[in-house]
Amino acid sequence: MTVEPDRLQASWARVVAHGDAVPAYFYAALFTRNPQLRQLFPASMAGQRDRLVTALGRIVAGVGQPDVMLPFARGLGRDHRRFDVRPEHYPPVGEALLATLSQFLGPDWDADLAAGWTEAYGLVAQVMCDAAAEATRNEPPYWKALVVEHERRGLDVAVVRLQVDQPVPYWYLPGQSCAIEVPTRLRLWRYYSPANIPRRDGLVELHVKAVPGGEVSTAIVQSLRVGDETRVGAPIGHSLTLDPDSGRDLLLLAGGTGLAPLKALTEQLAAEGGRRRVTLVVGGRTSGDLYDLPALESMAQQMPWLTVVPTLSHDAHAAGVHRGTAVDVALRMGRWDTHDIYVCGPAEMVATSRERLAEAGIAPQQIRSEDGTNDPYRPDSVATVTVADRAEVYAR
Amino acid sequence: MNTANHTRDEPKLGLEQALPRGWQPLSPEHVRGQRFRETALGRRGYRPDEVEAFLARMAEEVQRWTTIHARDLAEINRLRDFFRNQNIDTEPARQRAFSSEAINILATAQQQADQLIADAKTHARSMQTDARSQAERVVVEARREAEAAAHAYRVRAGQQYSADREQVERLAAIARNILAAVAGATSQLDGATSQLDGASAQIRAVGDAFSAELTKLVGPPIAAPERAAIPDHPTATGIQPARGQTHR
Repeated sequence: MTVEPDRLQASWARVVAHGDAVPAYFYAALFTRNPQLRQLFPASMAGQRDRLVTALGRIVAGVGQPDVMLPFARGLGRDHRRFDVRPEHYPPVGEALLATLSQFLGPDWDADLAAGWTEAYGLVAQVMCDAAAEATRNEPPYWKALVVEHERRGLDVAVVRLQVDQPVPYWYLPGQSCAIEVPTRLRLWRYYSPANIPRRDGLVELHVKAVPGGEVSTAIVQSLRVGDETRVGAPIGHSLTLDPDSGRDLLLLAGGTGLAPLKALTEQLAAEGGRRRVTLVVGGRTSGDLYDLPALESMAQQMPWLTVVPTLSHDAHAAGVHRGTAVDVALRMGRWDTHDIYVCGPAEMVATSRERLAEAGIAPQQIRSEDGTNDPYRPDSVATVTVADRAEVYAR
Repeated sequence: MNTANHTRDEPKLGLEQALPRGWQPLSPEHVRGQRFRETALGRRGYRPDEVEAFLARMAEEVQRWTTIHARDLAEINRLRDFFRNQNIDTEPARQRAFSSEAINILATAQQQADQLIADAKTHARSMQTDARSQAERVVVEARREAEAAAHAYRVRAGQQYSADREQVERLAAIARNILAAVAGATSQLDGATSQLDGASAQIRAVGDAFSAELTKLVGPPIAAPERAAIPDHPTATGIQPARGQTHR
């Protein structure tokens, strides 16, 4: 290394002190010199800026600590495949990065720093390219998936079924999430969890709620049509997958479309023989939020080990439904000290559920949920699930 | 001139000078001194004299270009010093200024576009949130009126009571509410055209809410299985499915 890591990190700290102007300059420099790269990005670059600065910050902080930085860079490289990033895109990005650094460092930018940054960027770019090339040997950058069913359920929910085109089988663990891109919102990927276990025919069921003001979710609910072609990225995340070493009974707390991964877990438990008792508490505000109740009730009829408990917090008139939030109703029903507990729903519902369970004396390690961040880009969670892991999930 | 070590004379041209680590310049001496092992007896190989002749030619070529390269670098350095001493800016200053102007314009344009998109999202968010809460309010009100109408009918009917008739009273109350809600939303259309989306979002929301409500009253196309009895559930206050329950 030509320059001490300290010096690179100090120079980066001086640059990021300029705030939003830094990523704005970086992208403008990149697109001024390489207009063809603009099409790789969404119309609004607002979300992109934080992501660039965060990712670069982590890489810079990791300079001199290869065991931290390399896995991160490899994950980035694998995941950037779905954005159509190719090896020839790396040099222009490096050039724009150096131009940005020199712009904001002014007179402090010297040949040593330039050489240090060039070397560091070259290393990261190489690691990302290699990781992408290696990943492509095992699986495509993304799978094409045809919308074969699109069903509106009430005000703002749609149940969508995708037929994944699979020259390479689309395997995932129930509880994992998949990044999806729809044709009317190109370059905007959002994570959704399949509501079913992986099937040999490649059918994936998604539950999507139109978030008010949400660019992608409203497009999926309101304007996605049968026959549209979507793209699906490699599955990610381990927070909501079943613990293979556990044989304990389960309590599943679902809020709104957070039901989807928990329904997939229930299918997995059924495929494994239904040897564990499962209580699935499905919560919502008003009756429209219990959009999948008929399907759940028919599952409960076929699976004697499954109890489905619908609850509503803001609907005084609905019949046959518990009053209250999912967690409160569950705590009224009994004790869950010996259960594996899975919570999935809006961030606020997950946080409240965790608090209420903790107040009831339940150990945090019993509870599994996704991390609170709603960032549509999660390079950290990028697959380290092996093909062998996935083969353990039975397909119908 | 020591041609094998000429890198010392190179001007600092910038980053494109970066060379792979461990890189050694190939000198004419290297080429000339290069030897290849001979092939085993009876195998086919190149004739050693031809290989050597070729290497010698290559060494001359490398020598020639190395000399030219070193001379050009010296010339570049001499010219650069000359311009610097004359206070002449050799960097393409006009081009640089233009490009930074272009970058700034693009950055500003992008920020404005981002702001517009963010505003549109905020607008859509409040519109959808309003529509949803209005739909919820309208439905709650409609249910209340439907129950009031049913109650009034039960009081009025006495011996003439029929559950079907009670249901008709509920439906009529719901229908009156639908009409009122649609009329309310439509009246917004008389306002500015920017209200149009809000009004149609509301009509759609109210329509969806009511279709769910009517499904519950009239019953879904395929009957859902009965839910398990819930011990701690307060006595039912909601609308019970009425099919097949006529008390004459």
